[in-house]
Amino acid sequence: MPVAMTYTMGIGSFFTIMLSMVFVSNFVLAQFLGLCPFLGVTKRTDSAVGMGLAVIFVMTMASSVTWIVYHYVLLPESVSGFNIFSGIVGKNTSLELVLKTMSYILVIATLVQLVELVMKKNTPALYRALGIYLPLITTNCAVLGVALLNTTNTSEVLDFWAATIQGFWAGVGFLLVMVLMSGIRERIDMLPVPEAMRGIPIAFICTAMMALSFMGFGGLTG
Amino acid sequence: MLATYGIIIAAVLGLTVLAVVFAVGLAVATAKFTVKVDPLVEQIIAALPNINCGTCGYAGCQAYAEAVAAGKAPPNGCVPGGQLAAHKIARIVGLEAGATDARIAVVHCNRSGVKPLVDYKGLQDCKAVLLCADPLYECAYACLGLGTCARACPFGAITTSKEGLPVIIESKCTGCGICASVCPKDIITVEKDTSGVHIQCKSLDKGAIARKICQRACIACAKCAKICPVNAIEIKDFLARIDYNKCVSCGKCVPECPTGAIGDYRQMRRKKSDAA
Repeated sequence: MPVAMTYTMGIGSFFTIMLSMVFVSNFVLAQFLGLCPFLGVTKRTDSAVGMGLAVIFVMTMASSVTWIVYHYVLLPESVSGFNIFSGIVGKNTSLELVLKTMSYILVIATLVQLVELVMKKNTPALYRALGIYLPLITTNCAVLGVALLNTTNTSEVLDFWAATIQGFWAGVGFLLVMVLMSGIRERIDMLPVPEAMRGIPIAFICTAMMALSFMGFGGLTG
Repeated sequence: MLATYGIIIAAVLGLTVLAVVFAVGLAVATAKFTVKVDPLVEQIIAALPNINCGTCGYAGCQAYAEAVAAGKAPPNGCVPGGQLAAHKIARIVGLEAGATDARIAVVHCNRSGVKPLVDYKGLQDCKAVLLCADPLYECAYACLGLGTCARACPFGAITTSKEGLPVIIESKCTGCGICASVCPKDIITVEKDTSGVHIQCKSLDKGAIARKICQRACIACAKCAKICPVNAIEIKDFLARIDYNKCVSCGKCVPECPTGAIGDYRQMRRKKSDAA
């Protein structure tokens, strides 16, 4: 496929992507995306790990598929060099403006359905443990967030592999804070927390303190 | 005008093409990963309490429902669900419900006047104490009183008394036995809900020592064993034990005990069975 855009991604920047997605701009603690599953599924470590792994899969797949959709279906041929509709509807449609969110959600919903099917078949115990939160990955704003950050809301244009890797590490960052939080919450359950603070309130306070400590990573990438 | 129509056509076409591609992909995946579920299983699960206690002998409610649907388990196996669940399940699978085995949790410790050995400030959880600060009390068999059982109870049937001992709210207890399985000191057991008397001590200390550290300990004097008309009580390792298969809940042992270590639940349980 001819590619007219210039993509500025070196090998070294993959390491930067990792640091940036896992620590510096962690999706949950720095960008405050995906707080619903973060608080909903972190009561126990094993379901938190399961949810984290499912989100890694969906984020990675969503990153690569939405990148392809954005560049080869939505962007006009004059910008990306190839568009499947270029022969049918003319060269300068602005599909990327009208269809972006809708087509991304379509991609994500399909992937979540796929994860659900595979999990139901292969890990029924985990499927039951995740319950409603598994289909809710569809509306997990972190997944839509990573798709948008890969394509439109980015300062430099990412190529296919950079986008995929960014999605993967964003998922790893999500898994990391899920595991940390579930460990903390399992211990909080046994502490004499005041009645009014039990459950979600104390979890939010812990989240805030974790977010503060994650701000310390802010200096890593300058 | 044409440009406006162009974008509408492109949008509709674009989304349709994407949707068709994904739909085909999902259809292929469904064919490959489909799981056949017996519709009976879901109905049976709906009739169960879904607390996954495991008292039925299966790994959780799902496994029990599958076994019942496959005809491998009787419909009256669910202890917390009781007679009601048994009837519902029997109707679903078309069998006789049969009698259920109603059970109730019993606390086997009075811990009266036992001094603490440690000023424990750590995690408020009995299992945590067992790891670092055991024994917490002079009596090594005593209830630690940090409410692990109360937190584990899915029905909220356990409260904690002023002395830090668990109290079973018998109207809420279903006999699932989760409290008994989480108690690190085995203070709680699950017995038939018709049983009226219980030895409320777990101390294996010799009588004189047990008496010294706890006012309501079993001192293994064997008076209860002697008065029991059906020989249901036996003294073993300095502790009286009731054989519930023999016990008729006559209550003769209760006033006989010099330390008051035998709990009398006959009044309460009789009322409950009358009401039911």
